[in-house]
Amino acid sequence: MNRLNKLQKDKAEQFKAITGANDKNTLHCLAAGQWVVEAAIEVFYTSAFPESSSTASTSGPRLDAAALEQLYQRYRDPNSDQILAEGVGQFCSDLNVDPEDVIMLVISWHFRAATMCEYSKQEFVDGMKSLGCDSIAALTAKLPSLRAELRSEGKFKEIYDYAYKFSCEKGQKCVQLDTALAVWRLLFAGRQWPLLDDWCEFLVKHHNRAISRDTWLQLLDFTKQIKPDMSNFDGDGMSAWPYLIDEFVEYIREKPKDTEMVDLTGD
Amino acid sequence: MNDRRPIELEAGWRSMQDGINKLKRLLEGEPEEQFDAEKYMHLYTTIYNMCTQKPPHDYSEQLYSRYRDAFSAYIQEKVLPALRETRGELLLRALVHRWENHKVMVRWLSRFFNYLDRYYISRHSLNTLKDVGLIRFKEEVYKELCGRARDAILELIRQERDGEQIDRTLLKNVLAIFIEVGMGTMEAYEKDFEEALLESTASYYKRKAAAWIQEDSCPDYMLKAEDCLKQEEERVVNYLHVDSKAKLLNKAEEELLANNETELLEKEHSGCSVLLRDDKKQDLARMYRLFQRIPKGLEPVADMFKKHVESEGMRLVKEVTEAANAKKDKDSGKPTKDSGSSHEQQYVREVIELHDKYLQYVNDCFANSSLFHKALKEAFESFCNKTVANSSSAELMANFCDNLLKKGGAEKLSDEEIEETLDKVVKLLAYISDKDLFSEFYRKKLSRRLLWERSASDDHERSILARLKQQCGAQFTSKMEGMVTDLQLAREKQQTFEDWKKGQAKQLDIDLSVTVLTTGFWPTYKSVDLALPKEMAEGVEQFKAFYEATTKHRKLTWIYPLGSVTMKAVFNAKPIELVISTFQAAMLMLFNEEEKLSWTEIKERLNMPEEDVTRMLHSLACAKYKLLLKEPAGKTIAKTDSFKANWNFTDRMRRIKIPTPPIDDKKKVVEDVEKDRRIAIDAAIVRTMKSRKVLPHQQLTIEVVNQLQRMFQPDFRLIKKRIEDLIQREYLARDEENPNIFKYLA
Repeated sequence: MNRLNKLQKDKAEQFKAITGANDKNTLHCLAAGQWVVEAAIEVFYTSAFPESSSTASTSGPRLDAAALEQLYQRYRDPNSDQILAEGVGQFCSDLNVDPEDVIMLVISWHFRAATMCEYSKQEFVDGMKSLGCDSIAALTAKLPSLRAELRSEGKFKEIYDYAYKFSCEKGQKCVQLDTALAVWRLLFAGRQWPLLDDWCEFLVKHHNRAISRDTWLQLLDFTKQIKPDMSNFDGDGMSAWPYLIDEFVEYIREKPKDTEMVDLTGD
Repeated sequence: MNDRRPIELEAGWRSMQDGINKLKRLLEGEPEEQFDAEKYMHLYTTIYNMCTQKPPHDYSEQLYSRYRDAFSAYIQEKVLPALRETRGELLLRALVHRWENHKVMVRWLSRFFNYLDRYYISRHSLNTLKDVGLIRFKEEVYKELCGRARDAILELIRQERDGEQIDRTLLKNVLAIFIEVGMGTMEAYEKDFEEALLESTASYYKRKAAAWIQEDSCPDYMLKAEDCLKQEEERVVNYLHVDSKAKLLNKAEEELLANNETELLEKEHSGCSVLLRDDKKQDLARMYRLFQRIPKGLEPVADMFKKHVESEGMRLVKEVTEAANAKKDKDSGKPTKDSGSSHEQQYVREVIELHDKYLQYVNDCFANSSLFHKALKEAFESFCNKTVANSSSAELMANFCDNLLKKGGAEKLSDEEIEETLDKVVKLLAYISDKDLFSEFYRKKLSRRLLWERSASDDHERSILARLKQQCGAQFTSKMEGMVTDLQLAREKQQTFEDWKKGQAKQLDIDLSVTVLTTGFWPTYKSVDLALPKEMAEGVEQFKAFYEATTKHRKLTWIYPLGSVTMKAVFNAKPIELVISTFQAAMLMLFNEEEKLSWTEIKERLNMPEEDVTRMLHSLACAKYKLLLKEPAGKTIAKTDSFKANWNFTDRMRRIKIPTPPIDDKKKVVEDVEKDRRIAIDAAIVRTMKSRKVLPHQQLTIEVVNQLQRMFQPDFRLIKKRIEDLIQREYLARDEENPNIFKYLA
């Protein structure tokens, strides 16, 4: 650590703050990521490091099961053995987090929660254990590192994938359009996909039905691979993009350009 | 012999020189006696002796070179001076003459010196005496004069091309020199003559073509070009070497045809499209003959043919669409006739005629070539799949067949003509990509013909099915064949029913005839649980009893809307026999008991769907025969109307038929076809993936199209939607690494 220059030290501190990694892993990841913090984070989450974050490295056995049980009881629904919407709301306010915050999606992902706004006892307790937390304070402290997971492409893909199942209403195979739109807005908020508004508008205008899992998954690839001007989109009908994406591209291409509209009104 | 004195070289040569001089005089045509055997023997023996003497008196080598020099001397002294003075045709004549002489000289001299060939030459591997003689001519005469001779020949050829008479034998003989001096190879002919010939041919025709293309119409140009090519072929036969044929024609074709093809074919008032328009079959045949000679020469012609046929087809499409629209405006409001308007019938007939006409063209003008068959096919495919007067060609063709096959549809045609027309329609079907749509419409029409006994001839029905089967496969016609068979079986069953009835205690008040059909073969009909009049309901019950007694594991569904009834109605004036549908009959029979019924009462008593109530009431109260009286009176049916029987109804006929307005089931047919397509695509995808397990999107799409295009042309997007649907249903999944690849989930 001492041999690093000022800039590197700053980066290492930043990295540690985000991931909670120890010095050794921090150096390793930063070196592998060529001292770009984002890249290093990617390395950190994609490599199989032993749970080495400073808070969790040795905390496995030391978790206080009684405290966890107590915590669960705090949120549990009075009428059934699980946490329902009300309990989740309390959980959010204890964490000082907006229920609409994307971080709740990340937490639910760690909890392996099957349904939105619900945690079973097992999901909650095992989830907390896997995060190495037995108190609200510990979880609050961990929030920055959880938030950082969204910046790792690999993790994001998993979370994105999970978000679909999570958003399905019970007994349904597809996600309802309004839910899908809300979750997309949540997920893409930090990713700057310039076509997000167009996509949502297109779906409301021309589709107005549930979203299939295939479309959901392929959209992420689409946002990554296809330039916002669609110039590298091969629309000869032989590409394998879902038809909804084909139609979206067509919709965008046929849509009068916003800039022209501005020019016209500007006169 | 040993003591004989050897012949000295000069002494011996003197006597040889005598012989040679005599030969020269003979060649020059001066008075001289021919060689007799004695003189010849003397000369031969001299050489023999001079070559067989012991060294140093063996003069073989010297004699060999003097033999050669004897030719040179003659050439320099006599031949060249004479030739150098001549020009043009005279030069050619002289050359031929000199060449003949030279060959005679070689023949004689080589005989005199013959012994050299035997021993000295073969031992030293030298040129034979004959070759030495020929080489002298080639080196000294040919080399000097071949250029001038060539120019003279080319000039004569030009004259002949321009229509003058020339001495062809002369040319043949001169060109023989070019060939013979090659001494077994064609090198001299090719280099010294042929190259220049080809060049002059090219420039000659380039000049001609440039003038003709400006001055002449396309047919005239082609006449001239064809004539030129014919002449060039004759030229080869007449005096050129056969090896020149292909090269010469190539040059001429290149200049006359290839280099001017576009300009010629596109000539404004006489080009290919004009010839097609004006049916100039002879000129078109000529065009084919000419342009098949050059590589890819026919492609532009075929392309223009295709465009022409296509535009003719599009003209028909446009005409019928306009006619239909005009008619629609005129008849707006009136229900359309079921089998399509006469315009649409006419359209199919015209398409058939168009096809006949241009198929004839392909046969007569274009030598039945596959290129033109393809062009014809593509042209028809292009316009036959356009929407015609808001219908598809598939539908119009099915209607057309119906008109041919139903009673009264084609009375004017003989059996043979009907057969022939059916054959042609089926052939046209090859151009239709929506074969499934045709099939669906055809079945709809077929079912009507069969169920209402409107088919004119069983033979024709079977014959078109056989043709369809041959063209589109057994799968295509299996349902239709099933329908025809069903009807036959139903008749037999009806007979059994009649016999069975006689043994029953309870006899019906009505005659009942039931046609039992197999569900899968027939179009889907809606089954309405109509409240039948008592008399009919009893019949149904009895038939059910019969059917259950004679058949096992079958379920009967009654399709009342397809039924028809003949009943006697006793009106105040006279009884009239009514031929009506089951629905109409049930409706009329209500009025045996009630004097007046409202729309709602009728609907509830009969348990009939709303739209049918209105339709039937309209046919009985607002159409030609007003068996019911409507309150308030009017031309349309409202749900608030009420009805009474018109007991005062009468008509001059004893038997009347009351048609029910046809329902427009076109939309339903199209929907059915779309549903079937989805199922067919799903099946094709699953079938393919089941055998291939893993396949990229593109290949899967191609595979599916290949499997289905015999029936219809599947849309790429539709295939994509079906794939996604199958992913949703977990038959398929995308590969994790490459989303363009699908996996089959067993």
